[in-house]
Amino acid sequence: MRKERLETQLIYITVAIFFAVFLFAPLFILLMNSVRTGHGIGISNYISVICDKDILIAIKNSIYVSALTALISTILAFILAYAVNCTKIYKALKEIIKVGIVLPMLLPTITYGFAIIYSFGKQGLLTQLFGRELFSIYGFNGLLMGYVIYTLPSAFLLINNSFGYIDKKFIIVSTLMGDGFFRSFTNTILRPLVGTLGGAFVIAFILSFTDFGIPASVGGTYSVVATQLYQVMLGAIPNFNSGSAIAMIMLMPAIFGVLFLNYLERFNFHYDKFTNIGIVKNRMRDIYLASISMTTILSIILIFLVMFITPFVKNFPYDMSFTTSFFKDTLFSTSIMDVYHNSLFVAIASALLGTIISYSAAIINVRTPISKQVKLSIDVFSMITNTVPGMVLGLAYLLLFNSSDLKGTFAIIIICNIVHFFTTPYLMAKNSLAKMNPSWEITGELMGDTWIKTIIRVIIPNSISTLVEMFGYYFINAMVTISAIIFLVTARTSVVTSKIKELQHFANFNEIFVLSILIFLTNIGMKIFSVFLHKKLSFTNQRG
Amino acid sequence: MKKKVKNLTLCFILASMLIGLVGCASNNSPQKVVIYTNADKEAVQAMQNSLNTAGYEGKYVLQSMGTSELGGKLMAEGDKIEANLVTMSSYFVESAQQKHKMFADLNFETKALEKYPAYYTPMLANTGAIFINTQVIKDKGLAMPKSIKDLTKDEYKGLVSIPNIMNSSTAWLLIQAIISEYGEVEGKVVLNKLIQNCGPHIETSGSGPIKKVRVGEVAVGFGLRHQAVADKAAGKPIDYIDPIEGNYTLTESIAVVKKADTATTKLAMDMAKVIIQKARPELIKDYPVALYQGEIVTDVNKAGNPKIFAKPLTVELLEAHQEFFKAAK
Amino acid sequence: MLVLKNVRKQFDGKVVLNGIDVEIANGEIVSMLGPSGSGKTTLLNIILGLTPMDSGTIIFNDKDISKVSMKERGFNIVFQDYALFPNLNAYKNIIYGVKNRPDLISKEELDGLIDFLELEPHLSKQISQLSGGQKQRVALARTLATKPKILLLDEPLSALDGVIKETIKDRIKAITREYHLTTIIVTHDPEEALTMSDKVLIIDQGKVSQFGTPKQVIHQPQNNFVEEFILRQLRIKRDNIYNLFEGCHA
Repeated sequence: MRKERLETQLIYITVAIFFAVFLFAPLFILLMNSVRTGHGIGISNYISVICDKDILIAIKNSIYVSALTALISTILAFILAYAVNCTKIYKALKEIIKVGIVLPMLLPTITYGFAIIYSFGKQGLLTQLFGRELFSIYGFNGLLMGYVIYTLPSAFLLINNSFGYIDKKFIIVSTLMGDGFFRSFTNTILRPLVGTLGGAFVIAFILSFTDFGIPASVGGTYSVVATQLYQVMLGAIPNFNSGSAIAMIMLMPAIFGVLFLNYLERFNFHYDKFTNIGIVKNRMRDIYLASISMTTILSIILIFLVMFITPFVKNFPYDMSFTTSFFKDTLFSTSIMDVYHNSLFVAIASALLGTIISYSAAIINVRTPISKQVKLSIDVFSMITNTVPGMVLGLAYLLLFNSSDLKGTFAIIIICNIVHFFTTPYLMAKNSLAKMNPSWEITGELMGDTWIKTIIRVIIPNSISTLVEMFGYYFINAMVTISAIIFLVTARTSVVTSKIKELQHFANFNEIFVLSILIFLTNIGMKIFSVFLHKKLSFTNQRG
Repeated sequence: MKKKVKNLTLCFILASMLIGLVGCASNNSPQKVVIYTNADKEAVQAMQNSLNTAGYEGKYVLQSMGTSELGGKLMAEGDKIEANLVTMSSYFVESAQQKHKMFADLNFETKALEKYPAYYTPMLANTGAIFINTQVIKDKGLAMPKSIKDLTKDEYKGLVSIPNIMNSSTAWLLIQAIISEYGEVEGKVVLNKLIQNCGPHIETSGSGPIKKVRVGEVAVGFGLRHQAVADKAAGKPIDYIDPIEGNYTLTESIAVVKKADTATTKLAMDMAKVIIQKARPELIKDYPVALYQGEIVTDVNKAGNPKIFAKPLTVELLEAHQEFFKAAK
Repeated sequence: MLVLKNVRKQFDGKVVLNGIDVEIANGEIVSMLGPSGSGKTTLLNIILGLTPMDSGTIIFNDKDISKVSMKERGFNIVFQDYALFPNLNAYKNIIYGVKNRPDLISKEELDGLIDFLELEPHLSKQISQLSGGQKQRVALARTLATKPKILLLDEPLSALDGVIKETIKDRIKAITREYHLTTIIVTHDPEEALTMSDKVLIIDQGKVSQFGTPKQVIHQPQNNFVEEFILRQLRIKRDNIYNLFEGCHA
C-alpha cells in the first residue's frame, strides 16, 4: 500500500473531531443525563418514565400509529412504483405521479397538520366540497393521514429506485414459461423487492415515530412520544433527566430499525444494470393502476390546495372574496422577514458546510488508500447520524452546549442540521466517487499533480452534478426541519418552521400558510435550480 | 459551458459567504432586546404598536410562547434566560423571582390601583367566562348553559371546548371556579365529565376554545370573557355567560431581567415603561379590566359574578391544580 | 538498462511474485505475458513505483531506485481503461502534465507528438465523443507528453475492437522506435506479446517461466508451461487460419 498522505489524514482527523464533538459527546451526555438520578447513577428515570401512565400510552400510541402508517405507505408506494415502472400508462401521467408524490417533501411537516385541519375540519375545504365532515381529524385519523403523506415520498423513492434494478427479462422469461399473473408477479416483482419493501416499511416507521411537526399540529389528545418529549422538556416543569430517558426510548426503535435495515440488505438482489424491456400490454391493469395513483396524487394535492387558498380570501370559509392583504401584511412585517432571512441563512450555510464535510468524508472513504478501520469509522458516523432522530440530537445538543457560547447561536442550528442530514449526501457522494475511474489520482500524480491538485482539477469538476444534488438535499431539509432544531432555536435565531410553531399558539393560520408558501416557493426554486444545472451538466457531458 | 458553470458555482459561494457575513454582522451590532411573552395576539399587537410608535421598531425581537413553556424556561434558566423583557402571568413572575432573584426593580412610576412588588407591574388582566355559538346552540336544539356544571350534561358531548391547564393559564380560571364551588371531591367528578364531553377539543392555547366556537366546531367553550364580548359586539353569532361558579381573574405582568449587559437591560427597561404607559389604552379595549388610575371600562365588560380564589396564587398551587386536572381525566 | 533482482511480493499471505530477475535494455519493447493471476500486473505496478515490493532490488541506469517514489522515478503508464479526465477535452487531457512542468516539452515537440498520433482533428472533442482507438491515442499522447523514462502499457489492446487492434499495434511499435523508448507491455494474449515486442517475459505463478525474443520462445520453449499454454493455442490459431486461406485459394 502507498503511504497515507498527510492531507488525507488531516481531513480525516477534522471529520473525526467534528463527529466526536457534535455527535458522540452530545449522545454520551444524553445517556449520562438519562441515568443521573438524585442519588448517583441508576435507571430510576427510566422506571419512572415507564411507570408514568401518560408516557406509556404515548409510546403505545406511537408504535401503533407508526406501524399502521408504515404498512399503508409501503403498500401505496409499491402500487405507485408499480404503476410507474410496469405499466403502459402515458408518460406524462407517470411524470405527474413522480413529481406530485415528492412535492410534500418541500414543506415542513408541521404544515401538513394545518393543511389537514383546513381540509377535513368542520369548516374545511373538502368538508365544504363533500357537504359533511368525512371523519374526525384530530388525533389518530389526522396523525395517520399526515404521517402517510409524510412517509409516502421516501417509501416511493426507495421502491421506485429498486424497480429500476429489477431484471425485467425475468418477466419475459416467466411469461414464456407459462406462469400465470400471480406466479409471475410473485417471482419476478415481489421476491426481488422483499428487501426494499421491508426497508420502506422500516423507514416509514422511523420517520413517523420520530416526527414532531405532525403531532404538534394535528395530534389533538392522542399523545405520541414526540409530543410527550416536547412537553417534558419545555412544559411547565422541565425535567431534563426524564426528557433524556424519553429521548433514549425514542432512540430505541430507530436503532432496531437501522439494524433491521442492514439485515434486510441480504434480501436485496444486486443487478448491476438498469434494464429496459417492453412491457406486456394490459389495459385493465393500466386503467386500474392509473386511477389509484392519480387518486392518491390528487388527494395529496387537494389537501395542500387549501394552504394556497386561505391566505388569499377574506375570512375562510365564510367570505371567500379574494384579497392579498394577509399575504402582504405577513410578507412586509419585519419580524416575519427577519425569520425568513434566518431560515435562508441557516439553509445555505448548512448546505454549504454540510456538502463540504460529507464530500470530504466520502473522498477519504472512497478515493484514498487509508486504512480499512478508518473507512469503517466514517461509515459508522454516517450510520449513527442516520439512526439518531432529530429531536434526540437537538435535545442532546441542548444538554451539552447549554452553558457554552454556542447556545442561542446560528452555528449550533447549522451544525445540528449538518450532522442530522449527513447520511444521504454522504452516500450520494460515495456512490458518485466510487463510479469514477480509480486510476485518476495515480494518473494525476504521474502528471506531476499533488493529491489536492488532482482533487481540484479532476475529481471535483467531475462531481459538480452530485455536489449540486447534495447541496439541494441539505438546503431543502434544513429549510423544512423542525424536529432537529426545536430545542435549539431562540428568539434571535428563530427560523420559519419554529415561527410556525409559535404562530400555532395563536391559531394564526393565515400567517402559517403564508410562511409555508414561502418555504415551498424557496424550495421549488432550489429544486428547479438544481434540475436546471443537472440538465445543463449532463448535456455538456453528452456533447463531450 | 464549463466556464459558466464554474462562474455560477463561484457566484453561489460568494453569495452565501456574503449572507454569512451579514448574518455575523447583525450578531455583532448592538443587541436587540428579546421579549418573551405568553400574551395573546391582541396584547402582542398592542405592545408592538406602542414600541414601534416610540421608535423601537427593529430594536427588539418578540417571541411568543405558551404559558407553560415560558414558565418552564423562567424556572429552569433564571437570569440565564435569553429574554431581557418578560411578560407573563404574575404568579409565575413572583415564583421565578423567589427562586432566582432574576428581575430588576422597575425604575418608573406606575400609579397602579393596587400595590405590586417593585420588580413587576401588571400589563393586563383576564377574566374567565363561558361563551356559546348561538347558531350551533339553535341548530342542535341545546339548552342555554348557566354554569360550568351544565356543560357536563350528555347533550353537550363533543360540543364543548376548554383549554388545557398543562399549557394554558386561562384553564386555571376554570379549575379555580370548579374547585371553589364544588371542592376537590365533587369537583373531580364535574371536571371528569367535562373532559369527557370535550373529547378532542381540549386546547393547548387559551384562545383555542373561542376559535372553535367561532367557526362552529363546538357549541360552547370556556375562555377569556372579553373575547366573547368583542365577538358579540362585532355581530358574530357569539354570546357570553358569567357562570354560577364565578368569574375568576389573573393578571399578566411585565418584568425586566437583570443582566450583565447593562446597556440592553436599560433599553429593556425603557421599553417596559413605554408598554405600560402607551399600550394600556389599547390593551384595555381588549382586556377591559381597570388596573391603573384613571382607567374606565364599559358595563358589558364588568364581569357579572367576579370572585377571588381563597388561597394566594402560586406556581405550587398551579401544580397542585394540574395534578387535580390529570387525576380527573 | 532496467534490472530487477529477486523481486518478491505477498498480498495477505499469498505469494504473488516469487523472486523475479529480469534485465531490460534501453529502447527495448518487452511484453509481460501470463494468465490472469500470474502476477504480471503487480510486477508492472512495482516497476511503476505504485506498489512497494516486499524484498528485492530495482536498478535503473546503474542507480538503485528500489526506495525511490513513483513520482521521482519518472516512469509513466497508460492504464487499461485510459483513466482520461472526462471534464477536460482531448487537448486539455494531453497537456494535463505539461501544465505542471511546462519546461518538460517544447511546443514543437508537443505538436509533433499530436501530429504523429494523428490527433489534430480531435483535440477539441470531449472524451465521451472519442472512439476507443482515439481515446487510446489521447491517453498515449498524455503520457508521452511527460517524457517518461520508461513507458508502461497495461493491456493496451484489450479494450479495442479487432479491426483497430492491428493499426494501434503498429503505431505503438512505431512511436517507441521514434522516441527510442523503453516500453513494458502487460498482456494476456500470446499473439499480441509475440508480434509486438523485442522480448517476451513469460510469468507463471509469480516466477519467470521464460525470458527471450519471440523467436526463442517459439522455437526453444524452455518448459512445459510455455509449450502447453502459450504455443499450443498459437499453433491451433495458425492452423485454423492456414486452413481458411488454403480453402479460399482452392
